[in-house]
Amino acid sequence: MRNLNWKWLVVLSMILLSIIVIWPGDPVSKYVPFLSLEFKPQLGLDIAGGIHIVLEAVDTPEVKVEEADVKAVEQVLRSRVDALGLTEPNIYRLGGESWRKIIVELPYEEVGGIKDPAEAIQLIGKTALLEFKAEDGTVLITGKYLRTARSTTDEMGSPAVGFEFDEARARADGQKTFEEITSEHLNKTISIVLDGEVISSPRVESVITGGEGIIKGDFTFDEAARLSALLRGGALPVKVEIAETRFLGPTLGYDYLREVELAGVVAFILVASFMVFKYKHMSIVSMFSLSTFLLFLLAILLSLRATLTLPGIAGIVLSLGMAVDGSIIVFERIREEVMQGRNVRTAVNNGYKKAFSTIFDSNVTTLIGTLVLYQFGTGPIRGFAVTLSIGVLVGLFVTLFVSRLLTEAIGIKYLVPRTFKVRRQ
Amino acid sequence: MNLVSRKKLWLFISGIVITLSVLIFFAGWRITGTPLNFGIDFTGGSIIEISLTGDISESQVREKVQGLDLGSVIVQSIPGETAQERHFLIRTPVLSPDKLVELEQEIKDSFVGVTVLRSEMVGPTIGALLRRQAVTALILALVLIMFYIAWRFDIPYAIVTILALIHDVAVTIGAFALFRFEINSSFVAVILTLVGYSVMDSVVVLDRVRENRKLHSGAAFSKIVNMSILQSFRRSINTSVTTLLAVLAIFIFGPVVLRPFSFGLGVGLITGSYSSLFIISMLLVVWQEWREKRPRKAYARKVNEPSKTKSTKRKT
Repeated sequence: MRNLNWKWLVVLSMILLSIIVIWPGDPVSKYVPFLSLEFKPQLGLDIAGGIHIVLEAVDTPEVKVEEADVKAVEQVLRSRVDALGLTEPNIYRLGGESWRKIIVELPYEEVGGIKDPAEAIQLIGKTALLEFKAEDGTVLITGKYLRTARSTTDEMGSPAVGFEFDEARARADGQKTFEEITSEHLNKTISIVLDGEVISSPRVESVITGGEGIIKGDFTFDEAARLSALLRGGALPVKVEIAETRFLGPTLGYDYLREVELAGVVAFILVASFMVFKYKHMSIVSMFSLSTFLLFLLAILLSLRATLTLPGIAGIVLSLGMAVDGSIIVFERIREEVMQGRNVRTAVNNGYKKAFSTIFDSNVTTLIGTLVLYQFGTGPIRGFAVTLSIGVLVGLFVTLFVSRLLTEAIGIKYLVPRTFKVRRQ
Repeated sequence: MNLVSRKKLWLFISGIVITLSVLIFFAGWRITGTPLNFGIDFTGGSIIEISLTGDISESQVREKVQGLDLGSVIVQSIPGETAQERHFLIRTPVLSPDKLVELEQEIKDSFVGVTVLRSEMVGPTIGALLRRQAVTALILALVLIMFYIAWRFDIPYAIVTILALIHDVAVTIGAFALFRFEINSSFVAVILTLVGYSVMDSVVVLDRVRENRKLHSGAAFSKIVNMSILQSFRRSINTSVTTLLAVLAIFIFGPVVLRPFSFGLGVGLITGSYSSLFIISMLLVVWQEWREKRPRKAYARKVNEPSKTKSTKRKT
């Protein structure tokens, strides 16, 4: 059995590598500089908490949404979220028939800056169209020509929003236009309107040349800061509706995580005890394969930086139950072979050989289900499809390679004869 | 033991269960107005889960929320961590972000120590999309599996497998209709997983049938099927039990939000292993006997012989 040695080498080095990957912290870089193998589990929003918003660009009688508009919306959302001081948002457009949809995901630590998730959702979905209107309601200029906005105070020290129009650029000259407007409407009132709602209606007392001004309103400091952040980010170019929002606080998700982890431990114990009960000595093999299975699966998920969602972890637990299926199929085959009077070595070889096509076909069908699921699911459900399909593949490898190795090493001599009560021949 | 001789009994049991599922489905529809307990993922709507301190009852919360005129509101208390801290689930029709802020403000003003644990809003268009996607996904999975089985085994095998899968899906939906577990987006995952798993179980039996036909080419088909079931019986039960143990652990110890998910998988596993052992094989026998009764030579030969390539080659 010379070729046994290299196989063991492969398995043992895989085990070692997996342990290094899973080990918390970064054990390798301490000894080997520049080689970092630290992998932190990436927890999904359904565990770590955060905000998940789906926005959809919709047609209005005036504007029909095109792909460029959706891209522009994405851009505005990006700068808006940046302006709100969130540094690691996840913003992306969906493809296919959902091409009008944009997803904004804000992890909880990031949202910490905003006191209220409901308000954050409200802010992100705002059109933020700033208009300066004449007394007769005609639009004089919009927020499109703003260079910047910031929160400030008025002469009385109350919160206000300071704005500044852009200098001459290729498309239009905000400063110039604003100067013309103020001279035309001198001593008249102009309404400053945000998304159709009048914020204030100041009287133009002098011609403004530098393009700067302030919006007074009944603001708190927070509101002034938020409004200026919105104005800095710019208005959304098309009408956007909020199709879906999910917010999860930081506590509930970790409660869920603890519970699903407990479920995983219980599942492992139950499955292991069942194997001990049913397959006596041979269960040593399945226990070893089950442990290596878990080790490999976690290491692969970590190194792929797969996001762990709640259904995803449920998928790991489930694949634990399915991983021993391979062992059971093989063990039952070996039992049959032994019953038919074959000697133990032939029984083991035949067992693995005959079980192969069964195990292979059955795993392919499970993979078909998970692949379809991956294609159609979003977020947490995708996480489930990912962990389950990787689980199936790892299970396949462990059954056909690792478990066979161990069976050949100690099974033939010690375990099979004891389990199936045959004398060694 | 001759299981195949009782094939009518096995098929009858399944027939009863499916009839019951359908009856429960429609009875539930009549009684509750909806056949299944659809969650907001499918119907659209908003859910807020809050915790607050003090001995506050459901009706006190409901009173405050109803004052806001949001439409039909359901307030449900869920067991919280401690006696002083209470958890409530508030379900309303779709709330705009402005309304949501208003609702949260009202609750915070009315009660003490309010924390919003989670809030979800799903618009009506998402629900429609999800329904369409769920159906497409299921059909796609069934078709792919059918092709795979037809390719690896034979067309009759593929057809009975799909029949068994429809059986499993129907029974699972019936169980959801009976126990009123919520149907949310993870239900799609449940159905597709149980479809994959049930086929996996069936493949083991079919594989045995295929193998035994080569080994005992002279034997009657029903004998071969019976032999194959008996041979795969122990392993089929054992593999289902291990997976069921894992699912059971998630159901009992896992988070409440995963309960519909693990329930569905559990039901699917049980009906899946029943159909793999007792439905697929019996249908194969029924199919075979039906073919023999009205013999179209070419086809009967095809089912009887393990290697179909030979017979087709001879023709050309």
